Amino acid sequence: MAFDMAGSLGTEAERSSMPDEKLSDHQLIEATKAGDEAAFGEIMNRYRSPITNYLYRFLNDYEEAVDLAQETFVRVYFAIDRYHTGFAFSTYIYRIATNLAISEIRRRKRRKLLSLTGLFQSEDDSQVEFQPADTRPIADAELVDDERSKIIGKAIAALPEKYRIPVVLRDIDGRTYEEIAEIMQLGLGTTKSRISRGRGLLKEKLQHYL
Amino acid sequence: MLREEKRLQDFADAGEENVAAMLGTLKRVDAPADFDFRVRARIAQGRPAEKRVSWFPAFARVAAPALMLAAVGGYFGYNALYSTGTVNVPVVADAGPVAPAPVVVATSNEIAPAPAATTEVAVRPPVNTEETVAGTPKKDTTTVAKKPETPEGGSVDMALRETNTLSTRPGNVVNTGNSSPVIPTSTLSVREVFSAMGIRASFSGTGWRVSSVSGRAAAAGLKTGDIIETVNGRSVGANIVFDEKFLGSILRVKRDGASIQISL
Repeated sequence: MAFDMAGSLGTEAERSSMPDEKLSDHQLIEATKAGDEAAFGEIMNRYRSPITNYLYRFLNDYEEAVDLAQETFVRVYFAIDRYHTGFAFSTYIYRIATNLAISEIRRRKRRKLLSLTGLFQSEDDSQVEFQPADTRPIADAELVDDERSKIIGKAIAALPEKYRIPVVLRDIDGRTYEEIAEIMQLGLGTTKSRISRGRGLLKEKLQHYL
Repeated sequence: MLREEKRLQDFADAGEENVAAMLGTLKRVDAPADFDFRVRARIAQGRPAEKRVSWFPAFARVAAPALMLAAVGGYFGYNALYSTGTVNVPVVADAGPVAPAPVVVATSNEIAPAPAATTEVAVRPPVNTEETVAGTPKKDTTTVAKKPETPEGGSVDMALRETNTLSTRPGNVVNTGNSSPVIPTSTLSVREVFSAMGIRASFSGTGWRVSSVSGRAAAAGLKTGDIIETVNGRSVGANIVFDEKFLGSILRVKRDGASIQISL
């Protein structure tokens, strides 16, 4: 299944008469399985920013988040034949992204353990906040917001994985408890208690900003 | 059921609403403009290869158990070779070639009942070398030493040390562990040395008090009542022995509180 880099994916005859943006996730998957590359483009269009945002809040590293988000779509693409429409595609893709993020965090820990420079590197140095270039004059309010955002991001990144995942999915990404439970493959009660616990930990860390 | 879930959800939200609201205000980041292009480029490259795993973790997985195994094996191996917990290991000591009248010396508590290899064991009084009980010259004087039973057991080193103390080679002083050393026939006791000089003396604590003197000792000026402190520069204790080639010539004696030197 060769991919057309120019974006002219598949033939018009293979496409459904319905515009891609109106198709459900499952329909897009089926279309992709049938060779409709434009359908996969629509899937990316729907999920690239939510997945990138989720991974960014999870890792607190924009470049890594973008890289892993791209890797997530690559894996979805190559495993699309194994995907079953028995559960939501959003759950499926978030689970892949979560697993990649967890692997990345563990790889970082190993690197930090083995790296001699890691011994002398502070936590602050290793967490690089993404700051897009901005030529406008910086207003005080924006400066304060940026600083606040940075601190919240660090507080989230400092949470244990088991609390960080559900808190980000719930409070930043707006996923339902049921979706989160499916993504984490946990019971509903456990998921809720982890969210509650995660919020409690954040509350302790950020009490000066509440 | 739904009401219960709602109650649980409300409970979970309660108290952390502020946190949730604060997280909700965070700016959302978007994927970069070339996101789709990069994904397609990756897909065009083919199935993602597994990232190369460093050789170090695999090495560590093998090396750590191997090191532990070596450490444990080394510990037990060392203990097996140099254990101090081995008890009652009979040690056969080769006494080597023996002079025509060999004396096998031992104190009563150090000689085990002789096994078949031991022909005879003679118990010898501490000082009197003439009173050896050995009857006839023995061709094979191999002795079997049994280490005294001690709580800590024994070891190869200890066993070897035991054999040294039982050596009957000429010229060696045998120390049986008691206060009185045993003198093999190839050495001379201090009495024998004095007797050869014409001196009779008895040990008095600080030296040998001369009780009678004759011969070359008397000619050299030694007198009854002198206390012999050294012979040829060696302090003479109660149990000192000399080599059979001893040619004593210089005595330091104490007479009337003063030390004087007498050459024979």
